[in-house]
Amino acid sequence: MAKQTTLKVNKSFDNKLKKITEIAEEAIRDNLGNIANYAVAISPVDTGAYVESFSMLSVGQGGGRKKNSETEARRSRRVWENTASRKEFTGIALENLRQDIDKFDLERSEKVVLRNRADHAQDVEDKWGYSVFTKVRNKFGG
Amino acid sequence: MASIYNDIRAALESHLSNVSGIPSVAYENVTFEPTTGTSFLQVMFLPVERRPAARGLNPQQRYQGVFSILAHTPEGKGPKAADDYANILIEAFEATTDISFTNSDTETIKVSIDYAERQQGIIDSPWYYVRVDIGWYIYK
Repeated sequence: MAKQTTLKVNKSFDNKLKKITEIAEEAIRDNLGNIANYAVAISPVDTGAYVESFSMLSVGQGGGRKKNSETEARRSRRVWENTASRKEFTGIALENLRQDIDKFDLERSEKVVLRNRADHAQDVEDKWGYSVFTKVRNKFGG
Repeated sequence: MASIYNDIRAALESHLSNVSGIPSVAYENVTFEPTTGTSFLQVMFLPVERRPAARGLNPQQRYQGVFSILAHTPEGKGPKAADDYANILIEAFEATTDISFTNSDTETIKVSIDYAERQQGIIDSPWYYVRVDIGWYIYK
């Protein structure tokens, strides 16, 4: 003999679902924050152009930040010449990425893209051996 | 034990040195003068993580990282040579490969390969290179 039961989906149930979604989104944003923190922490910083060129975007989204290390303003303030501190540039970079993460539409996107459009991003990766993206992929998955 | 990193590097580099069909290797912090027009490989040992693999006191640690190999070939000669080296390297370090190494204390370790993947070719005059990233891990 068949059995059935009818459940009333009440407001309380709906509120619980919303709460669960909020908790899940918070956990995902925390994880994206960990990726951002790690990428910035292992990046070389001199003029700040490289770290300030990081963006976190949806798959297929173009553009992203691009800072030039060769400008007069950049070259006058360098960490390697003690005329600027690493902390001030990484602070800007983390704030940039935090804004990206806050804006990120988690319901529409399954993947996130970490991008760096600095002209010397490829040199940082391979030629100078910092391998920032290689390490991020290894730690957080591809 | 911190010297595990020395052993992991030695395991990966000695495995590479036994691969046939590859050009000279430029090891980290060893003087190497590449000859223009002659291919060479450049290796980078990149430790990424060291995390307890279990709870409790003195837990076993999981170490993981990347062994990157840049296959440099002469610029302007097409991608084939670099592609061929990348293929050889991926095959030699295929995922699930276990690499054994016995150190000077006669202790044998086993480094496991998690993945081997290549990146696109890049021109860095007078070279064209392809990067091969080999993900490794070991429990110790």
